[in-house]
Amino acid sequence: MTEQELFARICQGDEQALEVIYQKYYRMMVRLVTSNSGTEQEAKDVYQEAVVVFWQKATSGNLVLTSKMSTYIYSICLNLWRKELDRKSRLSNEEKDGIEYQEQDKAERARIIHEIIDKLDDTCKKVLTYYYFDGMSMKEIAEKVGFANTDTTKTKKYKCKKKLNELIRSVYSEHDFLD
Amino acid sequence: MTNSERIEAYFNNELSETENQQLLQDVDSDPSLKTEFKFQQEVVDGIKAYRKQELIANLDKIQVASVGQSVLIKTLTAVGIATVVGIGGYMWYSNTSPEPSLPQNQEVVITTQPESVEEEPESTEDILASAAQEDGQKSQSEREKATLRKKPVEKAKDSEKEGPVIPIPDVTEPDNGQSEDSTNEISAPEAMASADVALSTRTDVEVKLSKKYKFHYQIKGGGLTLYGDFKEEPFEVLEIKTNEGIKTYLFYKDKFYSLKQYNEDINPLVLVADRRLIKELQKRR
Repeated sequence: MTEQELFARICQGDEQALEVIYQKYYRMMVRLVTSNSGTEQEAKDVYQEAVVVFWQKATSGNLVLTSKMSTYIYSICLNLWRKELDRKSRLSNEEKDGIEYQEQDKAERARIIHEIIDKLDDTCKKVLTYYYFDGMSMKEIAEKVGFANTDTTKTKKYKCKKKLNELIRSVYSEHDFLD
Repeated sequence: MTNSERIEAYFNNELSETENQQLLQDVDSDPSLKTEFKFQQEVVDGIKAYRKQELIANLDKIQVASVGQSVLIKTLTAVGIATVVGIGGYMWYSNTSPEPSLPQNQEVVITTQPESVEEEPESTEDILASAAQEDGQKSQSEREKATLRKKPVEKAKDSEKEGPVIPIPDVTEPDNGQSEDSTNEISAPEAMASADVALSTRTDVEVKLSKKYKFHYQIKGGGLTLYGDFKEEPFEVLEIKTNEGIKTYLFYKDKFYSLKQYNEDINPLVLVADRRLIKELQKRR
């Protein structure tokens, strides 16, 4: 499969094509981080993050490649690793106590939302994540999930979101998160 | 449009730029609207985080050899193939080649098998290609066995299909005054011919690929190391005991090169130019 074909498939939301890319460039990207003061685990995390960024841009139709995919992903990795190094150096210099409470609160709410989404049915999960993260259009979601038309997708998305809001609100009120 | 609908439309990217600005201003000035906006922001962020985590979990399931593992696997594969080919070649040679006949009063030790080649193969495909090439070379050596007394039994990866170009040093102008040494050494066929000899065996012959040393050798601690790409053709190391001590020569690509025993430095291989010595070496070989 050529590079163009792989990219086209990724743009259409083909996760298997993404896996091919992930394997293909793994060593190159990991070496970038490990040769710049990073561990292999850090390198893997950065590379996975970069691949996800690439995926999001490709599936949402916001990416026009003017270079090789490897070059593009490499530049994302590089930026992410620079940010991570900055973050590390800032963490070692900052007073963290004041921030920690807010961060814990935020993390707890994120955990609650994650658990509630996990309990949604598969179709709702797909519709919502494809729409909000992958940036797919209603038509693309309809094709991927197997809906008859975009109207069905819109209705489904509306209902799923409404249900999710309600579930989160109810749990938030139990935890006094709604002020 | 209600405030909830406006917020929903905002996160669906359905508002115009002006509407977006207006909403953000209203959010700043209206606490209840701000609470709802923050709530929706968290929900949308949560959906995004969920999907991101799902994608990363899928990537994590993919089997990818770590960089260290990959190098180890390649090295082990290369060593494995080299061992199999070496054993195969040895068995073939043991079954087919007659023992070379040597003069009663001289012992010539000929080593043809490099014991190790220190280079990481590029890929599994290269190794397979190398194995296929070895098959071809073995067939060729079978055809030549009437003329050659010793055969190569091991070859490592060939990275270039057409074979490497080996720079042969110009022996007419060797570096650091080595021409005198080599001239002295290679002009002693008479001494060799009348040598009183005893059995001598060289144990270690190693081939190393080096960026710096393309066609060099080093004799150290009883072992011989050849630097360069010696994979194109078989080489032989001849050790001849003479009255003046052990003389060592390398035979490669139909040429002899003298190896100085007393110098432990890495030296360029010096071509034997003396016709009488060449004749004598050919005879011994």
